[in-house]
Amino acid sequence: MAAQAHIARPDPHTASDKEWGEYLFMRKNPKGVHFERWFHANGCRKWFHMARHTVSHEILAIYGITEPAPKLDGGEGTS
Amino acid sequence: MTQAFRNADGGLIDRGTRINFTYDGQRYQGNAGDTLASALLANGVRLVGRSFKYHRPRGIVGSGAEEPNALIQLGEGALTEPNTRATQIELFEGLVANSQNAWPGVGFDIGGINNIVSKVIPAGFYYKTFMWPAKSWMLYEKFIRGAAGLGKAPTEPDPDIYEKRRVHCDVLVVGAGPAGLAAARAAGASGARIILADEQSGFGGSLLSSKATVDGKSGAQWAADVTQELAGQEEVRLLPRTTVTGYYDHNFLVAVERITDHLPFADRKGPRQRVWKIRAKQVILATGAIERPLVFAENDRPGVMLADAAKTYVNRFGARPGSRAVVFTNNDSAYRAAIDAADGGIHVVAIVDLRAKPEGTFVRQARDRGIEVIANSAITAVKGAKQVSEVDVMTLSDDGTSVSGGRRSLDCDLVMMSGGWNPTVHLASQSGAKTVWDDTLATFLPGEPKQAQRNVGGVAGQFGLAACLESGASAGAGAALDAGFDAQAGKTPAIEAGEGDGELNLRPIWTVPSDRKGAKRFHDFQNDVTAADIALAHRENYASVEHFKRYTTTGMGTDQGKTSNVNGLAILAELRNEPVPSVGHTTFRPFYTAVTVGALAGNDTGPQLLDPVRKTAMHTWHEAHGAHFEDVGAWKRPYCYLREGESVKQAVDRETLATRTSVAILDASTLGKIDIQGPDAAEFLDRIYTNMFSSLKVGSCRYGFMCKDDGMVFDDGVTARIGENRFLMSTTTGGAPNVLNWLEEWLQTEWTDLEVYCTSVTTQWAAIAIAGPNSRRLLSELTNVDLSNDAFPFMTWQDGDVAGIPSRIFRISFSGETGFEVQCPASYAMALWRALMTAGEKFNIMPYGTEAMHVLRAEKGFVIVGQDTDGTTTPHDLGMSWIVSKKKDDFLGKRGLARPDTLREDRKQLVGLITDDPNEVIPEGAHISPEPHAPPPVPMEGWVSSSYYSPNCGRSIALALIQRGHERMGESVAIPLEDKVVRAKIVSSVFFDEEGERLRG
Repeated sequence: MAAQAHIARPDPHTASDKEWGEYLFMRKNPKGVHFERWFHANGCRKWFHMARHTVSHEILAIYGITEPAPKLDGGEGTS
Repeated sequence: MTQAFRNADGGLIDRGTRINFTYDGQRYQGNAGDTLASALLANGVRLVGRSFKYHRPRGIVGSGAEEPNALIQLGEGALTEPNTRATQIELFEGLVANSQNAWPGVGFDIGGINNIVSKVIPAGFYYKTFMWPAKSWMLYEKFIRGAAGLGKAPTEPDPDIYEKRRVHCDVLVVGAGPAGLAAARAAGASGARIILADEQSGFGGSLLSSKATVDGKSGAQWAADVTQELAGQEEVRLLPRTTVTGYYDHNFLVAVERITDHLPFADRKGPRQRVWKIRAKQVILATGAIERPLVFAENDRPGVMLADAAKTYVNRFGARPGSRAVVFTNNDSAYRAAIDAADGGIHVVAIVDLRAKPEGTFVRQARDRGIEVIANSAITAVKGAKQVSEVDVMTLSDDGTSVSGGRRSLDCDLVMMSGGWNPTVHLASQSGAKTVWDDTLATFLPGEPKQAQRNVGGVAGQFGLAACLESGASAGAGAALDAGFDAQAGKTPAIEAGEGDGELNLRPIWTVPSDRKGAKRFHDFQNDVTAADIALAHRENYASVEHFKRYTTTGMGTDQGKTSNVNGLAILAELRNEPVPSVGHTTFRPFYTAVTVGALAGNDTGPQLLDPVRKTAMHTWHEAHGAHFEDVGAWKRPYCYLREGESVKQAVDRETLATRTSVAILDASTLGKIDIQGPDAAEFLDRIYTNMFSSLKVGSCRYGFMCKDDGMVFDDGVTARIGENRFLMSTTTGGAPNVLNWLEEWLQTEWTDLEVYCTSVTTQWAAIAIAGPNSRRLLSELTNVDLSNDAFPFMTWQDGDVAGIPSRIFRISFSGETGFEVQCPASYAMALWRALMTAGEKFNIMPYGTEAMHVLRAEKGFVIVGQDTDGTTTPHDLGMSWIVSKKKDDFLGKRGLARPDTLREDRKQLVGLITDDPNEVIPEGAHISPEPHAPPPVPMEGWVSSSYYSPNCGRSIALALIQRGHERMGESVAIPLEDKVVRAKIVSSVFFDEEGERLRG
């Protein structure tokens, strides 16, 4: 189970329709480093973060679900 | 039978151990150490199959995985295995093998007529001829598949067992030839965890069929000594008879070990094969190289063999594949083979060399032995139908495109050909490394590794023994170092190789010219593809290599083009007037050689292990009482209980009526149950559900909706407050795992400030729903709990014994009747069920199944999430705005429900439908159209989500999602079906007891 990571849930009271729509639906599909949320469903059931290269499938970093994205060479390193 | 072509000595076979086997119904003898191919050759058997398309007689070409012709139907009955290669089958006592693709037999084959009419079945023949009319392909296919086809798959279940193993290692070495052994030895000395795998029974690779010496010993002896040394090291795992078949991401490789395939049937115990799933820190590929055929006129006659294969049969097996050999080559390596063949008792008539001036160590040695070298020449014809009898030789033009001069005939029964070598780049390519073209070797080499991987020996284009040993040792030490081990310890003494430098001095001539017009020059033996077919594909503009492959079928057989691909590409490149690398090659995909499906399945077979079934505690009772089961998720649930002579519809109607007239019980154990605890549990549920749960009193329950953050309904269920900080949530049967995932996702990722713990207790608690006007009377006979409406109102729960079983009683109902749900520990549930059935006899109690449950809830307009919703349905669309809290500051879906799209007035809304004809039951999923007779695409305005015959209403009822449905009450709509248009009226979704008096009574 993987999905794009570091998408902040906007304040529902102040978010515009456009901001809420982007939070719900807009996802990146990069060719390169992708920061993802993973869930170890059939094991320890822990959610965690992974930086993965979408071309080589190389796993560049594993970090806690509440931690910010690490800076990586050639990566986006945003948020 | 005598082994007339077996040498008296030499080789690695055990002449003292004779092995009896049967081939095509004939009994033969071989020796321990033989393959089926070497044993057949030793017995003088040359004709081993018929070709795929033309049914031409074919003989053994190779000596290993590359073999295109000698395909064998191995074994009989349930144990039979098609398309095995005679060159890789180890001989065992009692082996039974049959040739394939020939009827009645290889000697006389009816299909051989195709050879005579071959002019009318060129490449693409099937595509062109059987395309029209399109419908007839089904008819043609039946005959074509029957006439073609290679081996026959077994029709009985596989009696063998297989297993899988997962393993980690520091260094995986693939291939135990000289380079692989040197690598494993160097890496092993460092103490790293090593796996060394090789597809053959013994380690040594090319050393087993070579006369070269290493460290002053025979190659085979050196290999045996190193193997023994490795076997003594604790961290080294040796896997003989193991083919590494796939190389995936993150240095994950899959290998198949053949554990008992080489044993007589009586000695086979335990698993037949084992799949190894290997995760390696470092990989060393020492996969070697495969010799390339020459593409010359009639090069497919039995007796035309790869030079190195002939050398292998003589050196390793002491078997002569012929008596008089002509060697045909474009490089030096065939000279070494010629010398060994001569040493092995084969009369080498001549070496025909495409090069103008062959020279080099082995060329000189051959000349010194008096072997005639016919340079600058080509074989232009091969004669002999079922075995080579003679070849014609002519002089080659300078540019290599034509032949001239007199025709010289050479009498022979064996042609040893060599067109150079193709490194076995399959695994390297699968790992992601691009291949690179090497002009000197005229072949593809593995390029820059993309993973932690090294290439050594033949696969790296190293054909000298010294270079193989050196690169192996160096890569072994380097891999150990990179895996974190002391490379110094991995240094091994230099190895002395007593052989030449391995230079090939190759002259590539991809299509050897001939003066014989129309003579077939095969580059793909297994698929019967010739140079002329490539030219045809090129003329018809199948210029892309992927199109060319599929049009001509080059490389598409069980051998996957191990001998044919590079020749095919090079010929295409010549036609396109481009260098080979710009033509490229098709993708190398797993598996390297065919893997039996049983091995991949391992133990995960049969209904118990492949697709496990979940059964409730009362399952055996259901089975014994006529349950007609349906699958709900992995659960088996009774759909209805069939009585003698009853149809499914009759049973459902009976159960539906009984529930509303007396009492019936339902096994509701499969509904998901999640125990939610923690000081923030109430706050958590307020965020998860659209309605309020913090206000729920201990002892009460509430029906709730969950939405995703887009406002769409995702799951529903009744949740009970067990304590101040404890709730028992119920979910839909199919949604249970997803709901638990959803809860944990929010707790772990966004709401880390909440202290809440969620545990699935679905299988710990069994649940029985008791429904109907007599439900209270029935239950009161089994419990002391006061069940009166005042003491036990609707939507509350109480603990108490039922039939002496500690239980939790809920006053809830999904049927719309007065009802209770009793939950008890699953191990007591059967006793509870039986007690209810016994006590209920006086009420004519009966069990009801899921279909009656569906009808009952539809009569009441209760939705089923996933049936009456589809992921684009909001609570408002369902007419259930009452369940969406207006008081709460936030919950999942609140903001989503305020988006313009979810507020649209033309959304599809849930309504009831009653058909004009009360007996018409609309099929579920049927569309509703404002213009049912419009030409396609017919406009749609909604669809029918639930539809049943309701015995309680005495007519059919349906639920539908239809645009603006809530404001269209009483309107007539059209439902176009395949053969008619059904008309129905929009009504309230509640068809029965609209006031809910029964429910609360």
